[in-house]
Amino acid sequence: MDSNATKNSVEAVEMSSVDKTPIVHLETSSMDSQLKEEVRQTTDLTAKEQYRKLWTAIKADKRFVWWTLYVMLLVFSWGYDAGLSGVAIAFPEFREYYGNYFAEGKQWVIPALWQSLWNAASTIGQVFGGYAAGQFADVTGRKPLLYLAVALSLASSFALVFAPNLPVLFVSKLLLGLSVGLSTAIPPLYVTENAPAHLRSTASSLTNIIIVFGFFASSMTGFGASKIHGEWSFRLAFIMTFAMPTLFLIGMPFFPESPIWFMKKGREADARKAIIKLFGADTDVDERIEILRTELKQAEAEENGKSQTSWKAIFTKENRTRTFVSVLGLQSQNFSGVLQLRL
Amino acid sequence: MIANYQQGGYFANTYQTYYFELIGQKDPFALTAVSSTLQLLANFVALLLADVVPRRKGVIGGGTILMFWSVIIAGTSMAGTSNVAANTALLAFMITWSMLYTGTVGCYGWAVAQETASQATRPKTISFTLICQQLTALMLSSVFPYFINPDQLNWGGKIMFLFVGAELFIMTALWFFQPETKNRSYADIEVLYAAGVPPRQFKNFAVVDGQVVEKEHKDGFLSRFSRKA
Repeated sequence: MDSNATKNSVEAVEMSSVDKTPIVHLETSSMDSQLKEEVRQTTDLTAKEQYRKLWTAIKADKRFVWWTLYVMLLVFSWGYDAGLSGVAIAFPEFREYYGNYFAEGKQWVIPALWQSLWNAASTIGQVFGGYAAGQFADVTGRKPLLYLAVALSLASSFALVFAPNLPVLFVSKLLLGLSVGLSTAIPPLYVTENAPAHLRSTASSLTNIIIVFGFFASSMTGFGASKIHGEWSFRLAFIMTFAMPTLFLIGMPFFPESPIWFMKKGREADARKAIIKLFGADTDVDERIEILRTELKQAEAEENGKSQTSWKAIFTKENRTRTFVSVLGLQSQNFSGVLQLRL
Repeated sequence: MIANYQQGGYFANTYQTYYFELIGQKDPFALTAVSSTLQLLANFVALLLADVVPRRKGVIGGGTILMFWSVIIAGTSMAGTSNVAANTALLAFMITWSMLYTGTVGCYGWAVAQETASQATRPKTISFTLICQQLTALMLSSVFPYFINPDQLNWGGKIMFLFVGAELFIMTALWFFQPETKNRSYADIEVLYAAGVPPRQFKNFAVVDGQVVEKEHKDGFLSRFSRKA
């Protein structure tokens, strides 16, 4: 853009605070037409233009789209596994097999104590899994945590299938909870931090539908398995919980570590390699590196020497409201729940 | 059930089954399958619209509609279990509720939780958000029976108002603080925050060559802004 023309057409407004970026105030009448178009591009595109842009972005970053779907498979996997172990416990055969030591009369029941212990185990597991994700994602990178999530998920499936008693099932629930905690944090993190701006709106809206889809698939499998009689009806449902993590594991060696993590660690060469793996060889690596650097505000961070990756950083003055909004984003789901009522 | 975090979906299905039985449906499984398919469909539509529907409209607008729906459901539920017409209506509202839920807050709530933080703090923010979510879900599911059990508080449908009240608070807070992140690059979002633009007005500003530009001249903007800055 011609800088002289811009200077003439826009009028910089003096800000009282020096460290703030000055806001340019535009007079509509004198606005440079090119600038006007740029403003329109970011603030109000028509739906049609928006979709055309999205489609171009999908075609340009096909490789990234596939990697997104791949890593979100872990989210599907937890929806599927969690749904399935819930389904399996509801099977009469399961209750007969595990509830018999405690049951009275003709009814086979799992003792209420164990049921609440299972719920507690999975919640505790998820809280610690979520915590571990935040604690270690910037230390070890995203990939080791993905491996850990798969390993924990497989371990819990083993315990489910070969569980000789209720306490082992408790441990299994705890492991699955940990895996779920990691799986709800890391893949969405990976996708949101790496998605180019034009893909991000769609990519970051994927999480819920993939969870719902996982639960949907699990109830379909559960319905199928319930047609089988005997011990294998729930065993089969449990065995299916191996399928997804195993499938996921096959792709892991080829999956690139998050470029943004490499940049945070100052490993630019590795970041370049990861970008090529993630976006394809024909991508403009220099441009992407430059974008990552601006996003991380690295120059600024080095200057004031404040850590951007500590727990404290999310409660600083600049980040406080953004953390608050993120939390409320999910809390709005909790509290919209009229159907939580047994009326 | 393990997925207590996904309360909306879980409870929606449970209570739908309960009401299916109440109105004398012999095959609750088939109807529940239909209703989950509708939810999946609604969520899919939301995904397709993610590039067009602004985040603020999706979450705040959707959440507000859900509050009205909740009040209607609570009101209808007071008709009693023997009123077949009321139960059918209730069921219809529950199914549309769960479609609206997965189509708005359910889908975009995640996007807000994931997108709002800065790149540097994102892992910690997502982690903290999930922990808060888990603990709230745990608290709700343990406190819930106390509120509705007949031998304790026995609030019945009245507990709804507690929920709508909490949701109202959340929606108000989001209205003030939620930035519009749709189709914005992270670098632009950082610039807008650094310039002190109020989050609810992000949609009126563009970032051109690292400078914040207001979309068009508005009377009173200058005075309002200089007061803030």
